[in-house]
Amino acid sequence: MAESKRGAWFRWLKWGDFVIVALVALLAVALLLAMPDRFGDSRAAAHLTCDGEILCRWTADQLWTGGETTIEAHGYHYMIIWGQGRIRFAEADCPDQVCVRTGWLKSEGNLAACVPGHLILKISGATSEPTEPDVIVR
Amino acid sequence: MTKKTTTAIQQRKGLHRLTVNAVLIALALTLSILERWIPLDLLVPIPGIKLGLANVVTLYALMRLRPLDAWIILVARNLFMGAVSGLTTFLFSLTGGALALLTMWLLCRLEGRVVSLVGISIAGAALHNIGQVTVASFLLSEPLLFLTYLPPLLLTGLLTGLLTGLAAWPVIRSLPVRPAL
Repeated sequence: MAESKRGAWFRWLKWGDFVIVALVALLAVALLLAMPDRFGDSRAAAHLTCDGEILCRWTADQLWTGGETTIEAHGYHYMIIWGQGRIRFAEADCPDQVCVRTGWLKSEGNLAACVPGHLILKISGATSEPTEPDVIVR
Repeated sequence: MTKKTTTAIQQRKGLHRLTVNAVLIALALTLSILERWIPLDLLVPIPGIKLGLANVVTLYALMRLRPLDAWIILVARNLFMGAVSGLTTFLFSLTGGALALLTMWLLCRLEGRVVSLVGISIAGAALHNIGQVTVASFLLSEPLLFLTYLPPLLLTGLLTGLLTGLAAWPVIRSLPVRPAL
């Protein structure tokens, strides 16, 4: 690093910095555009999986009716709430809280993941048969 | 110089290196814990967003010490954090950190000519996020995680990478290439 350089920080930026920023931004935009459905589906259903197995499903009608349930997976506890065609992890005691911070899911392809609990809550397009969403996974 | 003197100098250098690495591991751990207390997600509601303050230590180690020291600091920090947070978090953090370190190490060779510390830091932040989402996607067998979590993390990584690069700049500029014995 050139020790003698002085002045505002942006004066010592190099052309390679702009290439890196452009590549990262392009990748982000390309992934955003690749999202399957960004505009929502009023008949969307939802399901919760743990280690690839479906634990419970919600039909579109159930998602509109509203409700809440608790789930235990890999030692962590979760509260899932739904209503007005949306669903989310409302509370969790997992360490990173990424699942809770993902917020509401309402469009097909939207998902919330919890790596410590191996859980994925996902909105699917097809309306499926409901199952009782009250499951304990160990 | 006698053989005894040479051995004594080598032992002193080894001890010095061990001490510097221990101090940097402690500093990286402190920064990792400190940033958990900063409610960044309240300001920027992006799931998984982090400032990456410990990256300042990694950048310093890459620029001013040997690459091996940077790897030792990274693995030790992740081992300590993993002991607190669990195996999944350890794998998650180590993969992201290793990918970021490898990228920054390669870019460090071009530093001053093609890229600046800011570019290196931004590339490190991006590859850290890509590494973490790849591990999550693999563990959960869900490729859609890339589309859900990666774009906002990449975009906010431009800002956090810029900030950590700017934070590392005065540290690296003011400290010597190899701390004196």
